Amino acid sequence: MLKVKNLSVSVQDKVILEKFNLEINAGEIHVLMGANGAGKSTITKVLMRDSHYKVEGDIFLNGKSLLAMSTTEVAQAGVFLVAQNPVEIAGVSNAEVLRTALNDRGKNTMNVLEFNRKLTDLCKRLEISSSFIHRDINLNMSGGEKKKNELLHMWMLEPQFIILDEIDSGLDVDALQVVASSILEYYEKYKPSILIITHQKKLLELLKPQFVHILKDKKIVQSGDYALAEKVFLEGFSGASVMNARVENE
Amino acid sequence: MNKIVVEQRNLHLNEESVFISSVPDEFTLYSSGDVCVALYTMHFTHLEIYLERNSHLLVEFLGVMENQKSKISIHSQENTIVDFHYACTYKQKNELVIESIVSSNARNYIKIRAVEDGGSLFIKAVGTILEQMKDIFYLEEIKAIVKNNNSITICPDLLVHSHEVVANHNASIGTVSDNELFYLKSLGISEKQAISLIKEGFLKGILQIEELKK
Ligand SMILES: Nc1ncnc2c1ncn2[C@@H]1O[C@H](COP(=O)(O)OP(=O)(O)OP(=O)(O)O)[C@@H](O)[C@H]1O
Ligand SMILES: [Mg+2]
Repeated sequence: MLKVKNLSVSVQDKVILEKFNLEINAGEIHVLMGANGAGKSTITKVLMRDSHYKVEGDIFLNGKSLLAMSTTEVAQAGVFLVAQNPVEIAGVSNAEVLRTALNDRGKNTMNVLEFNRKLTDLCKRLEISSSFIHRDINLNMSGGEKKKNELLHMWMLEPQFIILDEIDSGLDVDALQVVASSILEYYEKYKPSILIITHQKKLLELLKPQFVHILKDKKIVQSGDYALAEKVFLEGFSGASVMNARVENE
Repeated sequence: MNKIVVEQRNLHLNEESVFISSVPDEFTLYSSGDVCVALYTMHFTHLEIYLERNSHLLVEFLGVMENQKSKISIHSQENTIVDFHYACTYKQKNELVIESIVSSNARNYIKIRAVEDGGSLFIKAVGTILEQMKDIFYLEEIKAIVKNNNSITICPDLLVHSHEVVANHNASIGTVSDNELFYLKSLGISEKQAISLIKEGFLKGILQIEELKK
């Protein structure tokens, strides 16, 4: 589904990623771990074709060059990003954005009533008020509400590749349960690929990723199964397992 | 919604809400009690607004300025509140003068949003606060989204002859936000649609009457 090959990313002459490789197949759940500032959010934005970054190397999405696509095209090809800090847009409502997004994909087969019914039902399941449907994008929403609002978009747009950049940050215990269950339910229904970025154990315990990658010194220095994440939680990123891996890789 | 066409040169409103789609070129509005007026036209040269004592007026404008020179004068008596929201897209060469004469115990909130659509706009906002007037709050906020910074000129003018006044003017001019654009495109919205959503939202963002109706 997604193949990142020998990727270098820089911004204003600062190199953030170098020789970065990652492969994610359909239906797999991966987690990318790394210290603050390691470049995790950067790779998510590069995947969405954020034009601030200078990129070299190759990225393939379903065999097609992702770097040849625009942000809109990447999204329409089924990639969906829940950003670490979702943007607020005054005057532009959820309903308006979702209707436009579905129209622009040629996927708006619902009439207004069906559309509203679907949104209302999703709000209930995400435990947010149905007034969110007509609220401005993320405006004046609490941290946790923003994350749920992003999941509302996910359910409406039905992506096949989901990137969750610290979706658990700022969530209270109950909200984390709701968010994780919603993601799991979506996973069961659509079997998308998921790339999770998190600093916390709880979300991983709930979502059970099959693959774990450690980002350090601008690249992935170690990959493994869930046990690797547990080691990181015990030893940190400068712990023995990660240090040794770095030596092996060089 | 029923939009009315106003043909007479004077309109008296008391405790009501009206939606107006057209007014005479020179036009005077007298307002008392709580009044909401939405004007979906920018085609007038001089609009005068008189507020009676103890009244509250919410007046909103939404439309396109195209080769338009408009002046709006607001005369508010004691103990009044004016929420003035003006949202326009501008094409060709335009001029907008807003003049407020403020009395004691008055709150004037003047918000202007302008979006350039290949043209220019000169805005002059004059707030006059006469001597011996007390407890006044005067806020002027002008924001514009432009392609070219030179397309808009903002000329604030606060004539304050009294000490018991809080008067604020702020203006910001910018282009469509990269972050907002990126966010909408990441949902699969085309660049063109995203820009128009952002611009429309920016204009509608200050309008409350549509919200109140919901
Ligand atoms: N657009 C940008 N302009 C300048 N510097 C940037 C930009 N984007 C990222 N960086 C820098 O690149 C580095 C990596 O940032 P990034 O946000 O990817 O880190 P992260 O791994 O997501 O960290 P965190 O865990 O704190 O979220 C940081 O040093 C950051 O300051
Ligand atoms: Mg980050």
